[in-house]
Amino acid sequence: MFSHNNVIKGAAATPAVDRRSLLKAGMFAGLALTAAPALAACGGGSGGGPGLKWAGWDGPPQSERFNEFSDKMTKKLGVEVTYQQVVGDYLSKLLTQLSGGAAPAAFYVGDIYMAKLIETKQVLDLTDYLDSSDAAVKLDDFHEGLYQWCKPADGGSGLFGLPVDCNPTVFWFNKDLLAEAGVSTDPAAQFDAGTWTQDALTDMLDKVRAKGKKGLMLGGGNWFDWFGWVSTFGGTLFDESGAPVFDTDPKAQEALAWLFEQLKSGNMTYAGALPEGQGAEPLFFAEQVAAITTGRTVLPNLKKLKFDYDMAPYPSLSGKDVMPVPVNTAALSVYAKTKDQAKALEFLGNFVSPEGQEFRLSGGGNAVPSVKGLDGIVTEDDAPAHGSLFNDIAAAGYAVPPAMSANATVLSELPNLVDKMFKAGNETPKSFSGKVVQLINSGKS
Amino acid sequence: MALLTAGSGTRAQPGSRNHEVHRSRRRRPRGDNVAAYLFLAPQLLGLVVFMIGPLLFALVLAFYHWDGFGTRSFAGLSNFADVLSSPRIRRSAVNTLWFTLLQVPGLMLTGFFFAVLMQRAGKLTPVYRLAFFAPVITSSVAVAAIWLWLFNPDISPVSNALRAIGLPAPNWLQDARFVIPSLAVVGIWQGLGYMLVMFMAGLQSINRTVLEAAELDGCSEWQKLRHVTIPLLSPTILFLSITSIIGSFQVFDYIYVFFGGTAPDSSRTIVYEVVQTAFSEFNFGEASALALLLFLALLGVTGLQLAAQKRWVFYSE
Repeated sequence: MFSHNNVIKGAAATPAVDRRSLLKAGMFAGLALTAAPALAACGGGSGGGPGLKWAGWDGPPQSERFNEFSDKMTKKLGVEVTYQQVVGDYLSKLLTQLSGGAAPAAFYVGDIYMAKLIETKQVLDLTDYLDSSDAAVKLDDFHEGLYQWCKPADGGSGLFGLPVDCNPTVFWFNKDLLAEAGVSTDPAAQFDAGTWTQDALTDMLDKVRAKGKKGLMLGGGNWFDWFGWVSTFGGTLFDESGAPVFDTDPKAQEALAWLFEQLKSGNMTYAGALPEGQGAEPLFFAEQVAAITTGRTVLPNLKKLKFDYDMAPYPSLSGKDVMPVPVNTAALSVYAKTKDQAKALEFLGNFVSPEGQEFRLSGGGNAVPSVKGLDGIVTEDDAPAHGSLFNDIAAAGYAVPPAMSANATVLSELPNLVDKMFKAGNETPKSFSGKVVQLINSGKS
Repeated sequence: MALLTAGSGTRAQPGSRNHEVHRSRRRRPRGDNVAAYLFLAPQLLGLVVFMIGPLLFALVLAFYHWDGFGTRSFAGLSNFADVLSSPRIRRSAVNTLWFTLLQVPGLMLTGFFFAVLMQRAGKLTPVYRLAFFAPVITSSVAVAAIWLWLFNPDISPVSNALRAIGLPAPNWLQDARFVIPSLAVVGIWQGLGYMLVMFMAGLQSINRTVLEAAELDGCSEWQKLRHVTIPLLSPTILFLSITSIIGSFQVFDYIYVFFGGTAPDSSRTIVYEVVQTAFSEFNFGEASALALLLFLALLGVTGLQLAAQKRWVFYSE
C-alpha cells in the first residue's frame, strides 16, 4: 500500500547517493542528450545512415510489398535497402529532409513539386543511367505520355524521374443500374461494337436520369477530372510547344459545350472538391450513380460489392478508338546528394523496370503498369471483364501537362478556380476555358 | 536549529564553524542551480531546437523570399503586402472568424450545459464522461471518415432524416453557406468532451456551502446558477474561452482531411492558407508573413480577453 511512511522507509533503505555522483551522472546524461542529434547527423549524412533508404507515401497493404521488394534488393545490391513509409504529410517531411541535406537516396515525387526539385537541383538526371548498357530499364519501356512531366519545365535536357506505375482514368459503370434504366448495350459492349460515341453516352445518361438516378459524376476541379472530356472528343488541350489552346481550339470548345450541357441537364453531377476517393466513389459504391471516371484504384472495393460492374475507355467521336485521357502517376527520383548514386540508380531502375512493377503490382494491386507488355496484371481474376483495356488507355494517355506542372501555384489554384465555375454554373465554354488558360499562362488567376 | 540560533546576529569569523556554515549556505544554491539546469538541459534544448528556433526562423522568413531550397532574398514588407492584398486570404480570414464565432460559443454552451446535467448523472457519470470524451481522442482521419459520410447529401442519414420530415437537405460541404457551419459542428462534436471535463472540474470545485447558503436565502435554481455558479466558474470560463479561441483561429485538420489540398475558397482558413502557401506553392516567405499576422491577431485577442477579465472574472480562495 502506498503511504508516505513507505516512501520514507524506502528512501532510508536505499544506499545514499552523494551530490557529486548525482551531478556527475546528470552531467553525462545532459551531454549525451545534447550530443545525440549531432552525432546522429554526422553518422547519417545524405540518405539517412548506412544502407540505402527510399521513401514513399504508401502505407499498408502496399508497404508490405515494398518491404518485400526492399529485401529482394538488399540481396541484389549488397546493401541494406529500407523503405521509409511517411505517415502524414509526405511533402512537408520530404522538403524538410531535402533542406537538411538528409533526404532518402530515392523517393517518390508527385506532379506538384517535380519542377521545383528539378529547378533546385535536388534530383539526379537519369539520362546517362538510362543510356548505359547495364541499366535495368530503358526509356522505351515506358508509355511516352507518362514521363514528360519529369523533364525540366524550361525545355532543358534531362529526365529526373520515372513513373513507378500509373492509374489511367477510365469509365466505370454499374451494369445492374444501367440495365434497370433500360440501357440494353452497356458501354464496354458498345466499345467492342464500335458504337461508343458521344451520342451513345448522352442517350445512356438520359435514360438513367429518367429513372431518378444520377448518371455520371464529375469528380472535382482537378485537371484529371475534366481534361479527359475535352481530349476524348478530339479537342486539343495543348499545342506542340506545350501552350494551352483549348480556349481557341474548335473541337475543345465543342467538347466543353457538351460537358456543360450534361451538367445543366443533370445527366452529369459535379461532385465538388473532396479528397480523392471521397467525392463520386462512395456514391458509385452505394449504387446511387451509374458511372464514374477514375482509375483502377476502385477495383478492390468493387470486388467486395454485390452489383455487376465493368469498365470501358471514354467514348470517342469514332466510337471505337481509345483516345488520350488523363493518367495519374507518380515518379521515383534519386536524391542528387546521395552518397552512393550508382546503387541508388540501380535500385530505381529495378523498381520501375517491368520485373519490378510486376513484383509490386501483381496479386491484387490497384494500379496499372507504366511500362509496356505487362498484360497479366490488369487481367487478374478477369476483374473487370474489360481490364485488358487499362494498358491501352495508359499507352494512349497523358500525365500532368508540363505547362501546368511547371508552376506549383497553377496546380494548387486550378481546382479552386474550376470548382467555383462549375458550382456557379454560369460560364460559357469560352469564358471557362479562357479563365483556365489565363491561370496556366500567368501562374496566378 | 541550534546552529542557526547561535549564528544569527553575529559576524562569522574566518576559520570558525560559523564561517564554514555561511560558506556552505552561499555555495549550496549555486550548486543546486547548476544541478537544476543540468536536469533541465534536455528539455531546454528541445524547447530551443523545436520551438524557439523555428519560431525565430519563421519570423525572419516573413521578410524574405524563399522557396524552401535556394537562396533567400530580402523582401522587406512585400510578403505582408501580398498577404493583405490577396482576396483569397481575406476570404480565408473571414471564414476563420466565422468558424470561431460559431465554434467557441457552441463549445462553451454545450460543454457547460452537459456538465451541469452530468452533476446529476449519479453512478453513470463515468460512463457519460467516457462517451463524451471518446471523440477527443479519436484520430482526425476516423472523424473525417464518419463525418464525410454524414455530410454526403445523397447517402447521409442526416440528410435523409431532413428530407423525411419535409426539410431541404443542404449539400453540407459543397454549399458555400453551409461548409463553415458544418466544420464548426464537427469541431464542437470533437471538442465537447474536453470542455465537459473542464467544466465538471470547475463545478466540483465550487464550495457546496455557498450554494447551500443561497438555497437558505430562497434562491431558485436559475438564480443559483446565475448569481453563484457562473461567477465562481468564471476563471474556468476565461481559461476555456482563451484556449478555444486560439484553437479555433488555428483550425486546419478538419479542412485538410475533408478536402485534401483542393479546398474551395468557402472552406479555407488562415492556417490552411499558411500550409498551402508554403508546401503547395513553395512560398515560405509569404506563408511566414501570414503566420506572423495570425500570431499578432491572436496576441491581440488574448490580450483583450485578459484585460477584460478584471470586469467579470471572480477568483475565490
